[in-house]
Amino acid sequence: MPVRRLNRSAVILLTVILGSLLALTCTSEVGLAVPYTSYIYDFWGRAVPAPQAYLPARTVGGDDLGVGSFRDLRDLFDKSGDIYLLDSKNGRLVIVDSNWTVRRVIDQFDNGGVPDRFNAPEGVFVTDSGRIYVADTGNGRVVELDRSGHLVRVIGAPRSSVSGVIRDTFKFLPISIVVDGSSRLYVVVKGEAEGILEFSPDGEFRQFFGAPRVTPSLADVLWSRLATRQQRERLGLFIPTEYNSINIDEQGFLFLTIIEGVAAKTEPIRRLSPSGRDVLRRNGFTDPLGDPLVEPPSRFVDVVARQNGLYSALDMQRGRVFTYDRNGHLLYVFGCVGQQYGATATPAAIDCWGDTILVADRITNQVTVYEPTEYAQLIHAAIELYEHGDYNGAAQAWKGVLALNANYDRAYTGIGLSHFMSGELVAAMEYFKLGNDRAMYSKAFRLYRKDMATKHLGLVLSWILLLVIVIAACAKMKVFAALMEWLRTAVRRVGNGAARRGGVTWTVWQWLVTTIAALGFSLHVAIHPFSGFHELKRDRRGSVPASVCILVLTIAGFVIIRQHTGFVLNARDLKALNIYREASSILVPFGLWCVINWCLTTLMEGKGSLRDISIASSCGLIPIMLFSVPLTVLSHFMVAEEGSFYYLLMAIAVGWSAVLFFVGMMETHEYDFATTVYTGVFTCVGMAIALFVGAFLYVLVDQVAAFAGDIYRELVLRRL
Amino acid sequence: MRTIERSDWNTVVVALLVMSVLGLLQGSTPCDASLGSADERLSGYELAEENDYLELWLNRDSAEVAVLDRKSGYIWFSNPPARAQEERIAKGALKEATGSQISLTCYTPRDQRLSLESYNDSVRYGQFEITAIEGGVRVDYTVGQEWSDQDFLPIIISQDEFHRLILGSVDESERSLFLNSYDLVQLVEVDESHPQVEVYQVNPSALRGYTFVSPGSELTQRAHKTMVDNLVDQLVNGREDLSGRSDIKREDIPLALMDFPAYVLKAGIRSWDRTGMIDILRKTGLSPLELRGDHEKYGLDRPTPNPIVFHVAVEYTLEGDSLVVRVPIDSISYPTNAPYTGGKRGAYPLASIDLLKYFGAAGPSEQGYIFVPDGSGGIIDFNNGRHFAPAYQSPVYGRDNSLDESSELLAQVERIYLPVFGMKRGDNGFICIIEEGQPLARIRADVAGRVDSYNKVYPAFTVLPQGTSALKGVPQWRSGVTGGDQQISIYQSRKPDSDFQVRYTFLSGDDADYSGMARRYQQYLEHRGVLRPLNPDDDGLPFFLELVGAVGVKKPVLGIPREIMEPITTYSQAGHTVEAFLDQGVSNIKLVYTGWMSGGIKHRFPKGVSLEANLGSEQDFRRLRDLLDNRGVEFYPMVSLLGVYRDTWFDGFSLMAMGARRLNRSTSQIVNYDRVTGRPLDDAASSPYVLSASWLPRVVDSFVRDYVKYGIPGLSLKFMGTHVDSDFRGRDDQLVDRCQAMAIVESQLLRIDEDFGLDLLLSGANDYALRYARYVINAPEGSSGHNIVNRAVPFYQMVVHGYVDYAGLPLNHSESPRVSMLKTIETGASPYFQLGASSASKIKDTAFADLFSMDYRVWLQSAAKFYEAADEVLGDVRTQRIVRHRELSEGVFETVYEYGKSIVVNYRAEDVELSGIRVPAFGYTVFQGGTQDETN
Repeated sequence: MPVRRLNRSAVILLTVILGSLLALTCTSEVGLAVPYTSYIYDFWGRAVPAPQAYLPARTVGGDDLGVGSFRDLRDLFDKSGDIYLLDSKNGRLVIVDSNWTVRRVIDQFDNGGVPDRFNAPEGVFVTDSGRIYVADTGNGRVVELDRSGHLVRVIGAPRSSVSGVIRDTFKFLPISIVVDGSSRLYVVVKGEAEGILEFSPDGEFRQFFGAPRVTPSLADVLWSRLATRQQRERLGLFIPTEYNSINIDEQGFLFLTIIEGVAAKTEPIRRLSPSGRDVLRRNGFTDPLGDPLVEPPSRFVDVVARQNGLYSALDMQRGRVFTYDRNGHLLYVFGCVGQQYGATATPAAIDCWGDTILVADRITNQVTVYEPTEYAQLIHAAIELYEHGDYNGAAQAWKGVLALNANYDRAYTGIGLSHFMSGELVAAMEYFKLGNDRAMYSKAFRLYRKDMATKHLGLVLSWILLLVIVIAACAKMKVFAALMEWLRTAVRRVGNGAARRGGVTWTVWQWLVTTIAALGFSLHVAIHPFSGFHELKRDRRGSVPASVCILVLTIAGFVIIRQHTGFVLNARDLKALNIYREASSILVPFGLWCVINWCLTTLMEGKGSLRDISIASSCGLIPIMLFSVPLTVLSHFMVAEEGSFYYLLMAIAVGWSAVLFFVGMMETHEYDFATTVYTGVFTCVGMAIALFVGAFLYVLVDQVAAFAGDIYRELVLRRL
Repeated sequence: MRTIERSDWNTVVVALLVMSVLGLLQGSTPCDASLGSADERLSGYELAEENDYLELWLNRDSAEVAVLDRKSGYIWFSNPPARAQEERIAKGALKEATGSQISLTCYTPRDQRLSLESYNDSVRYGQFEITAIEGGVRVDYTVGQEWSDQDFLPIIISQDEFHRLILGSVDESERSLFLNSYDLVQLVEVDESHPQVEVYQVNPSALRGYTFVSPGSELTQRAHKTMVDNLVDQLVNGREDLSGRSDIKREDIPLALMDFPAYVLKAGIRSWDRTGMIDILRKTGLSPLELRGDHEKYGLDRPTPNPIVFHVAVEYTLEGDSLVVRVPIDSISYPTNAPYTGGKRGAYPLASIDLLKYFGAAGPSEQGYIFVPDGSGGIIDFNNGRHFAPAYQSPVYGRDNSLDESSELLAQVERIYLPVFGMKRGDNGFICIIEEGQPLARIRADVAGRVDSYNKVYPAFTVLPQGTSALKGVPQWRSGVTGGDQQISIYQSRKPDSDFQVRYTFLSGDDADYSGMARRYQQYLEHRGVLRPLNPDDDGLPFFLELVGAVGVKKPVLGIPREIMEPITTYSQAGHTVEAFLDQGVSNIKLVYTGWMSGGIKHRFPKGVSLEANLGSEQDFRRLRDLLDNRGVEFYPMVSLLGVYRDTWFDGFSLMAMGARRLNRSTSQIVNYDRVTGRPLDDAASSPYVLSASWLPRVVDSFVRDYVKYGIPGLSLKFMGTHVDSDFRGRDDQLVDRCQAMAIVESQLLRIDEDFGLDLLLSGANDYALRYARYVINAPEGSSGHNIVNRAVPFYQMVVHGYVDYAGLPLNHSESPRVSMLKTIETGASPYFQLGASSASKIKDTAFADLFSMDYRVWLQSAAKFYEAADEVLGDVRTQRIVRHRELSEGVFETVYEYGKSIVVNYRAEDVELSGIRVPAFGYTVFQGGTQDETN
């Protein structure tokens, strides 16, 4: 892989957009209409539109090269400007130069005086020294040829000196090969789950390498215990996964793809270190899975390592090429399945040639040549500059990207980074926020907070001091007591007035007074649960309106937490916030708890009525209500590392609530400890059953409706 | 109709024999179309019609037609004349189908697909009638074998009828064939003493007391036995209810034989005699209906005609230099109440008709190409060998949104804007214009070597659109289908309200290429008044500036999800933006304003004009109008009348009443697809509802009446230039078929343009809409790039240039701004930018994220610079026609204008030398009447 040094600076690339648009010579795209749409995944996992990164420049088939149609074009490999095309069913290797003129066609070679041919080969690799390795799949061997196509050696099925390393049933069907810098040979074998085969430079089998381990989840284990054998087979659980293609990057690490089995959905691309460990970084908004959360999932048939740690993987499910940087950030997507210029019918292999990307298609038997647009060139430049530590240059390039695509989160982060490096923290924070990079935002914020603290510490402290002094002085001069007294008199006066007028006014007044009193008492209960709940029931100090108030305030607290928690700790999509959903997420469990608990306890000699239960339970929500606002305020001053403290506080609120619920039930029903525990457990079970029945009824009604719809459709539309 | 019965095999074998003999005969005569005189090439044809330009010849035996172009002497055949030798790929019935003028696709009541060919299922049985009509001929086909062969051959026929029907109408030599093939038999009653007639396996009691004689001849014992055996066999053969001789009972003996002698067909006659007789009887015009009486008389089953027959007529007339081919809709009929298995009856809906599939079809050794109007236009080279790619087919004016959408669409395709196609064949060519029924047409094309040996292009007309309805609730055990919902098919309840008509015009010499086709089509449109030349005194190249007003963003307000209007370009900002462009020297701006109405880009139902409050006051809007007026900027606010983005209460739109319906009665939408999965999006904001064409006049009325109060002379329409959607609501009278929908849209464009006097700017324009369009933006720039298509050509631009100003897609949101700008120069288009006055990050995280590069400040300088460059090159040829376009070498294209100006555009990364002149990489060079003028 020729490494192109920083070709032109990003500044030149910027002129693509901002300067004369017609005077630049960089790429050679000709085709205009492309059948595919371009997009990128944002922080929320949504696919948002983007400009085209690559456009098809031409397609090349066997007829165009004058060597006759290809049949099953399986693999292609680029080496120093020459392209090796593996024409599988014709059993030949066609080598063309960078102008697409045929240099050589290797369809047979001399094997010890006997002419020999390939049989349905599936993979090809060429070393820097020009040695050609062909995975001659049909013949079960690897063929090594020299630059001019003369046989060097044949590497047949592996033999091991230690018995048991290789199974008796093992079949050597090589499909993909690479050779590393020290001439070690790595071979992917069809139907082999033990990993890839490593051969020493002298062609001796050394070991199985990098077995794709599958770690089953707990659910998988449970399910496999319960399922019958057929079910297990159908599910494909524990079927060891096998690799299907291999590539090597500049550092000699192996890139592998997995197309079948469970690992194909979770880790379809792996990058193996020389010790056989997967070191692929998965730091992007989504893991390098192609299209995440989409059925059917992407299926990577091939991957190519590019310069600056970039790699592009070819998805045969939808014919797309996904390009990631070394940290696993998705950069751009192009291509699609189809029978149009720029689309591929059944993509088989991908390779690159500088920034040009080549995709081979097994059905149309053509290679499509894709060239980067200005947009992709800017992204490449930004990454290259970043790799070389030129953050400002990178930021310039990212600005160019943003001019073309305002949806590009990475660009915002890149610009933010340059601001961060030059100490412009506010600007950096703004860009990190736009780029949805919480980690970097947090770093910038930590510095900013420190700055602010050192700058304003004296001022803040003196204000606090002043406040304390004022409060102390007021307390000393009994200002508060006087204020309370005045308030009390005022209330009494209004109360007397209401009493005089009588009628509705008096009733409303009384109701207000009791409700506020009940609310006040609820606070008391939250702090003194044992005596509080006892009194609450005995003296009927609670009221339903007060409970409703608590519920409403709790919901409001929830919404405040969701909507206003600081950016670092709030990884929720604020635009999707919906108060109705938030409310039902509290009201439904709360209502169910009260009703089910009442049903149960009436059978179990509980002393509480439904009213008692709901009043007591609402008191249980008070800690959450109380914590919501202070927590939200606090979150604005926290950085990511302090998140655990935030969550600890939240856990305290929840724990306190749980205690209140428990004590509330115990006091309301006059139960002992054990009875309270098991009524609590049964209530939870009952809630689950109620939810299940609800869902069941819903399905039933839905089916009846569908049936009615069918009858209607048959009656109205059937034309017989 | 491919259920071949046993007795049909004979026919097939004989037909094949006859075909091969014919083939041999033809092989011995010169038949290469390019050799021999016209008379030789037209042997078997007779002149049906002629005028100054063309001669129409007709073959009365095969219903084939041929057109002789008097100017060039070239003959165009409806079916390849040399197919007997040339056709190497299709065999049997498929090979014979190359002799068809029409092919029908229909469905059985059980939704099985049937394909019928005019040759295989009509002409072969002589079921067609040729009549002369004004200016040409008409061929009426009855498709579907009406009578099977054996129906023509009487099994038992009374002596009188035999003489009258058969012997009376055949000539001497044939008469003996018939007499030898029949026995004259009479039944005679005898007493007990007479020896019993014994027939093997027949119950003796059945024949007790009867004997048979042959009047007028003495029979030997042996001959008598043969005669009786034969009679018994024919009785068994002629009756469904008898399965063998042993079934014959006494009452089955036809007593009618007693009164008069009758002729009985001999069972042992040779099959070629049999076919010979059938052919003779067919020729005499005997109808099997006439044999019914006799068969009934002798207790035999009556011959019944096949009820599953279709009627279609094709009319060929000459009009000036064109051949007009018409399928009158009245002539089309299909069985609506025919029996099928199980004694049930049902309809055989006729789905579509392929018309003149092989007209001008070029064989595997010919040079030339097919032109299809895919997007801007595409060229399919003859014999390009791309059999891995599907054949070309695409509906005219795009998909009907009221027909069921495909479940997934990953690859984008272009639509067809102009209902034309053409072929270049050596030094000759034709262009075919679909004149009537075009909204129901698909254009199909394929190269030689896949199904048959011909390169061909032809229209297929949908007669009854088909839709499906899934029965979701049907359990598997009931539907009998495993995996998947049961579907029922639904068809439009009546035939469409339009004839199908195409016009072939012939080209030769230098005109026979796509430039010539474009020129010819342009003349046609000009002649019809669709295109009017631009006034050369008008100012230079227009600059289309689209500004985006407001976008709706979903945001929670106090936790309650609401749609907030986010202003991108307010009314006053729009004015500033235009002034910024004017200051940069961009004159002649045409301002398109989207999202200016209440609701933003996806505006509320346009019952009238309601301004968006977040963009400014009515005062601001009027101020903008005045400002534009003063600065000479034409103003085209954009509105969508056909697509409705919301279904809210009390907005004047009721989805149930006014939305167009699909065949399964669900409401139709202008479907957009998920960009990842390619699945249809069903929310109205992404896929707007389709307003039924029947409501369009009322909506136009209420909106435009309100709009003209603002005194803006221009209006821009979103879907009306391109979208034609049926409304399958209800039964025959409520239903708006696609042809009617097109007529309504056209009439409304006419009203807005002429009655209300508004200048129209259309976003995309089909042929009929060009008449009303002052400007067209979003004109097609390329083709879909189907693998079967070799390359794209700017046919659309070649047709409209000099008549209507147009622009492609917005340059800033195109696939690659640089390439798009070159494309603009190549195709003579005007620059078009889609911009806004806010930072583009405002649309991040909204449903309008596809406006990803809309900040006008980013584009101001380069847009102005590009406009200056484009105006310099294209300004003076704006009102001229493009006379030629061609690819000089790979990636280098030349466009030549009427008065000799030629522009060469180089898309390649390196400079190109062409006859001593350099064209820079990614640049262009202008030649003024042959001399190099400027290079860029």
